[in-house]
Amino acid sequence: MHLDLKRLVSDVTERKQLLDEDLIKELCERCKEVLVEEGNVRHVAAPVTIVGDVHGQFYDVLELFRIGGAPPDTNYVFLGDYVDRGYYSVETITLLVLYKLLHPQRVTLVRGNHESRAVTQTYGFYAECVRKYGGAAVWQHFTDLFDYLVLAVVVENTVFCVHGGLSPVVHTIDQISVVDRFRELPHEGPIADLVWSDPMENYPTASAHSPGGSDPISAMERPEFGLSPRGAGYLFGKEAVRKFLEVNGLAHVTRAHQLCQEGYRIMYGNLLSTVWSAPNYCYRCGNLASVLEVGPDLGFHYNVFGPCPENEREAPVGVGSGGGRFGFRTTPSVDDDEALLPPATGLNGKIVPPLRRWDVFDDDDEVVGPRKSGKRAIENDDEYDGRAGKGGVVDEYFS
Amino acid sequence: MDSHSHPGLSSKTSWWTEPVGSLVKGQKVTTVDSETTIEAATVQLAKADVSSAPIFDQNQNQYVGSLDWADVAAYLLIVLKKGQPPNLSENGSLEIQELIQRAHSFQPVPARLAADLSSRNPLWNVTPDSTIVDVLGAFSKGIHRVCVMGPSGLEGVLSQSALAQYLYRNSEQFAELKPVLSKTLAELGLGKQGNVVSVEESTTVVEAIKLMVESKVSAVPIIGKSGRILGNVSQSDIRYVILNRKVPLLYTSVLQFAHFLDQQLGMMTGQDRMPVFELPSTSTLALTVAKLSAVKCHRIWVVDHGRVAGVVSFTDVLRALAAAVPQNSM
Repeated sequence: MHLDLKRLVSDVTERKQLLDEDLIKELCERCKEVLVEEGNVRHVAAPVTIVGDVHGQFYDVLELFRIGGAPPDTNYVFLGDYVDRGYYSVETITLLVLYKLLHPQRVTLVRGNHESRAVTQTYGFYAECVRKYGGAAVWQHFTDLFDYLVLAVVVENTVFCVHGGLSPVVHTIDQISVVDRFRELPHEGPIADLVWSDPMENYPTASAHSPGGSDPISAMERPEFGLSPRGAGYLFGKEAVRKFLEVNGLAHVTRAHQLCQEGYRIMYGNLLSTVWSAPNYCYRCGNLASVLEVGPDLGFHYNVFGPCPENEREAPVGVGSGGGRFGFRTTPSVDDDEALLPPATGLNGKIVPPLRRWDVFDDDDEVVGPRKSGKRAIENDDEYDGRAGKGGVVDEYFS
Repeated sequence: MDSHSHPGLSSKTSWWTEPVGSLVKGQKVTTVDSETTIEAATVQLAKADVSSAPIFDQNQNQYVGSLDWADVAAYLLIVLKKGQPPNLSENGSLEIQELIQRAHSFQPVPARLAADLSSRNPLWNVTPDSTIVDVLGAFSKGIHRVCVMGPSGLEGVLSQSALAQYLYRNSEQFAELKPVLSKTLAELGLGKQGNVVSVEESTTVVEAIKLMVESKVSAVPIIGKSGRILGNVSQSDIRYVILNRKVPLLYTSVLQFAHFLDQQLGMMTGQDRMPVFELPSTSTLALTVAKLSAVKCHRIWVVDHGRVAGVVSFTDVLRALAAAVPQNSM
């Protein structure tokens, strides 16, 4: 079967077409053939743009390509969570598969925790496939394809990229390379940890802003890791990241997996960052998104953007328009002198990317990002620009 | 029995002789006034993110009972005329009859009438000097929490989960615990009940609540046609129905309800969680405590080869730890 992939890309992006089930099947088969040749850990060169969760927000993905450049003009590493939540998961994953087939060397697709049969049955992708195609076949083709996605990326032997985070049983990159990834995501073990784990500020001491809201319990064998309140994976702190980077001769970990109000978040003195690429998440969170542009000199630029303008998107029926309860803005204002500090020298003499002007520091002079990320930031209203609104996540229950 | 009266024993304090007062020191306890309506009390429980609250009667100047989600579930069924509370005999206690009358005539129901409506949540008092071994007996029988009553009143509430976590965190110090914590659930014979009370995908939420109240369980797994576990409904999920006043949720299928809750929670916290919390029977008791604490659940399904083999709860955990106390110390 000859396929005009470029024509299919414009069918999807311009005519917003849903491709036939037979075509989807063929595309997935071809994509598996490409992915099966790739190792669990893929090594890529800079410059490259790293993208976090997009969660089926197709129109915002198109906006992302307008802002960051489309393949092959820009090299991309996608960190997973392509589907679920948004209303256009099918279109989103279809487009990414097409780009992967068109430019296999310039596009890397990493597996997220949502690229799983069990998770997509809970969070929307399965239902969307049945709604759009009348059956589960398309869902089966895509979830079979997900088994082939790579687990991690290393950029220029410097930056480790993964969807979730670190694992207490993974000390070296080589250990990731030898696992059998071609299967449904397991519930525990190294693969589960890589896609489910989260960094935790000030781990392991209790933090009012921790996801579980309580003192995490450290794992007996490796106290720098604690079980995650998500039910899979671990929480980990600065020490775990520092050790992993040192053992593997790397300088930075970039991951996604957690909502960031400002689109990104830097932690642990710039040892780790979170990139989130779904603006106004679920069409109501009012957050910004970003992509991480790694330059040829390994400089980091977090390119922040808001949701695609209303007049350019097809709003899903029955859902509130953009803005959410925080209102949304476009890119934050930037002064002329962007970098406050000169580039720091990280581990092993590698250059650590310069800090941007909107980074703020906590009491220990640790960069914590421009603002606390995620919904829990509103627990202390006074921290959040005094915006009106009741404090506390629980108040959402009353709205 | 402490080590001072038995010179042959080690002078180190054993874990089971620790006074419980030290475990609840500095605790801020959520309590409910006995005249608060059940709806308002539910909101209090949810806001404080606790599973229960002692009910304080200002007239009697004492605690008259405890309210937890099992009680709220039983109350909900009465309001919906879906069932009688389990302990209602022919005469029925005065309070429960009053509750039923008020609920059916839509009068506000004070929390005191719903205290231990489920018969699974009696108020259980201990003193600060009571030791861990004293409360282990109650915990092993399924009492979820005890009130530590000091000279000046309620000092704190010690729950099964808090005790289990305390023992886990300090297992380095309490060497006798390490062997039992290192055993697997299979070795301990836990989580292999076989037929746990469960529901199908299409069961409605209110039917599931009725089943839980009647079977005296806090949660049920949702088992799909293939026999796989697809999700979970707990009595504490009721808080979302009551708080949001989304009564139609009660009549949706349990699977849709579970999905809805997961989606809402994921959006609010900015991070999604696993659709099902489970452990294989090869998990150690230590891992079980850690996982139960991490996901803030009272019980977890034991799943082997994709099938639910059984359930393990903090009651089972503490019963296993109680077995590690030397016989002459009990």
